[in-house]
Amino acid sequence: MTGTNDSVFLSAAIHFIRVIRHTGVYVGPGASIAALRALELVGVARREDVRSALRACLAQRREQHELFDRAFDVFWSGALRAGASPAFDDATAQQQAQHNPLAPRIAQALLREGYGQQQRDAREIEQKQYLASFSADEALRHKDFDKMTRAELLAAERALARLQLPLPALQSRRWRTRRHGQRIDWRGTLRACMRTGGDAIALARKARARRRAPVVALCDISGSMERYTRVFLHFLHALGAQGWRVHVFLFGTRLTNISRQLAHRDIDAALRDIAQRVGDWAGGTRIGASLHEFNQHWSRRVLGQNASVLLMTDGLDRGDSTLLAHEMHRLQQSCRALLWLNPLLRYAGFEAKASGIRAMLPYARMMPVHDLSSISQLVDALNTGNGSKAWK
Amino acid sequence: MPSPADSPADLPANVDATLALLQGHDYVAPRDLATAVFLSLRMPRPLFLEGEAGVGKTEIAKVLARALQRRLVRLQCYEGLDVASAAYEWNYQRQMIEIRLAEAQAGGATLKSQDERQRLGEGLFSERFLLRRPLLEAIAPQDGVAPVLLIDELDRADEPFEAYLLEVLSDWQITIPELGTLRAHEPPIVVITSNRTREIHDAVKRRCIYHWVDYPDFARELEIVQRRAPDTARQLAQEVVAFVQQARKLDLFKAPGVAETLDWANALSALGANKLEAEQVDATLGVLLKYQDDIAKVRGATAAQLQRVAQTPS
Ligand SMILES: Nc1ncnc2c1ncn2[C@@H]1O[C@H](COP(=O)(O)OP(=O)(O)OP(=O)(O)O)[C@@H](O)[C@H]1O
Ligand SMILES: [Mg+2]
Repeated sequence: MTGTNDSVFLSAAIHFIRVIRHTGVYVGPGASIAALRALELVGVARREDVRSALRACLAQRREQHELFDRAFDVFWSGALRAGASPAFDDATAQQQAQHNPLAPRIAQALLREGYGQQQRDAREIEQKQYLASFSADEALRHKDFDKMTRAELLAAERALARLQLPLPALQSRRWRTRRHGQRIDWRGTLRACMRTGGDAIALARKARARRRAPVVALCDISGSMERYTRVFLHFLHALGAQGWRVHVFLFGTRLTNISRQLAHRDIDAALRDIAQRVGDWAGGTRIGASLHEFNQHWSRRVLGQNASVLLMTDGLDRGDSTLLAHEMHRLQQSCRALLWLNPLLRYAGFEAKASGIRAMLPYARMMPVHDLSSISQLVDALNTGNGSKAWK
Repeated sequence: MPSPADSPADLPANVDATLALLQGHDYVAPRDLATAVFLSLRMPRPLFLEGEAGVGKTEIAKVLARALQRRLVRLQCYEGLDVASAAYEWNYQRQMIEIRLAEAQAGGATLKSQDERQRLGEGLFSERFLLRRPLLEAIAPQDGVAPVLLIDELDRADEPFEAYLLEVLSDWQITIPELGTLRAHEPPIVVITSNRTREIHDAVKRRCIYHWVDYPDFARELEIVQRRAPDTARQLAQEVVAFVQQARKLDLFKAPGVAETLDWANALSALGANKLEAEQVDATLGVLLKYQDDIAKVRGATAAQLQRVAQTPS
């Protein structure tokens, strides 16, 4: 569910959670955050999965299940009938009340959580709290990816997928329906729902039609870099999903273009696909040769529109440093901005001693990339770098 | 990408993959259960399964351990379960022997110097003399790989233990006063089951993904029989399942679970049955029903009625 942050779906889910609360089921703030995260994990493609996920977090007693299920049905079918949003009018609620005995309780809850200013404000606050719950985890923000446990890594990857990225500049004002668009196209969704008889909640997305300078990422996948690059791909995937034009290349001993694989909607599927294509993970590195290959074969094709280049490597390379410097120079000349993302900057005492690093340093601005907070800084840099040569 | 043992890649990526994973290990799960399992693995949070006896709650943990190639660490709960049996205990016998040995080395005399005694004391409360019970083993596994921790039938333990468990589930650490705090590097995959002889405290459930495990419907139960009792003749399997599905609607003291369906199918097959026969049904009813009252109630007319329904082609 990329781009859920400000989506209609998130606010609909919060609306629903509050309705459940009004029916008398206790739902604490922890449970509501868990429910929203669960939704994000299962996605919104199947109505039944949405139901199961919410129920597993919100209705933790069997006696509550009937009430929960009926409220769910009323709420989400109400959403379809009401048109522009999952809204309920009194008439809908009354009508439902005739069909089942729990209905009065549900109808009352629906009415209580209506569209008054006060309720809207309350929902908005809850939505902000939810979004804040991701950035609030300071410990996670500053923890080295390489030191994270499996659970922390998953949390970090989720945080990256959710990172609010500035919308690309140079966009036109027109909205177009797009599969990975940042906003949910509620009309398109409803139209699709009607076609399937309301069974699937497939969200149509829309995004501004635009042309903008692409981001090109060249990522080192040698042994020392593997963990970091893997996490970084989640970030690049999010960039793509949020409407940026992204080209991604991996290099170890040779260069592979994985842009098409990474564009897959589902990041896990994308990574599996990439793993099959790229045999080079965690092997050695030949940075100079890989850059040469890029400059020779890809540069003109993907750097056309004033691209920014993100070079992700620790610069530890035993190859010819004259070649390396030469290729770095060529690369810098052909793009708008060259950012070097180096996880070695996690060490307080880092010094540019290795010959590879010294060869590369004059041509790029070096930035850390080993934890969530440094990736956030990168977002800022990408943002302010737009349209200026300031950080080249 | 290579998937080293500690990479998240081996967890299923979505609900469909979870469903396939369970199916691949002969666990026939409805989609909502697979959704709960998926969420529990990915959030990650303990999976809290409630339901009648014999519906496959315990089996989920076993299947997950096999499917994810983890060790299964099982904590069977019972009344009076305490920290000593659930988490850790000092091995007093070995400690005593150690003291004797030290005394023997000191030439039979008791240990005099302060120094000697302190050194012995430190040695006595080291990991060497620690008996690792399931919770400790799950939090600090000796092989370093986070296992699947099954906390079975939590409703049978008493509430003080529940409070202790809540602490462990919140912090993933166990404090041993003599030794210090042991913290899980990687929390285990936790499955908690309850038969609901009493209500488990909401504070525990709130940390979990909750799922009520229902009896399977006809199609699913038939598939379970075909997978788990594959020698059952096709017609017999269908009739057994139809019979059991009907029997669950009776007012029985203990309705038959899936475990009983499987036992019954196996028993009838062993008797050479290819379909239900009144005589064999009556003779084997004890496999399906566990209480004398229930057996007396069903044997004869009711069984015949159920059999007729089961054998009516739908
Ligand atoms: N969905 C299923 N798929 C495959 N086998 C199943 C399924 N459900 C139950 N079984 C079979 O039923 C047996 C009993 O299940 P299990 O012991 O897990 O039940 P339980 O819910 O833990 O019961 P209890 O409350 O009595 O402990 C298992 O050994 C397994 O063979
Ligand atoms: Mg059991």
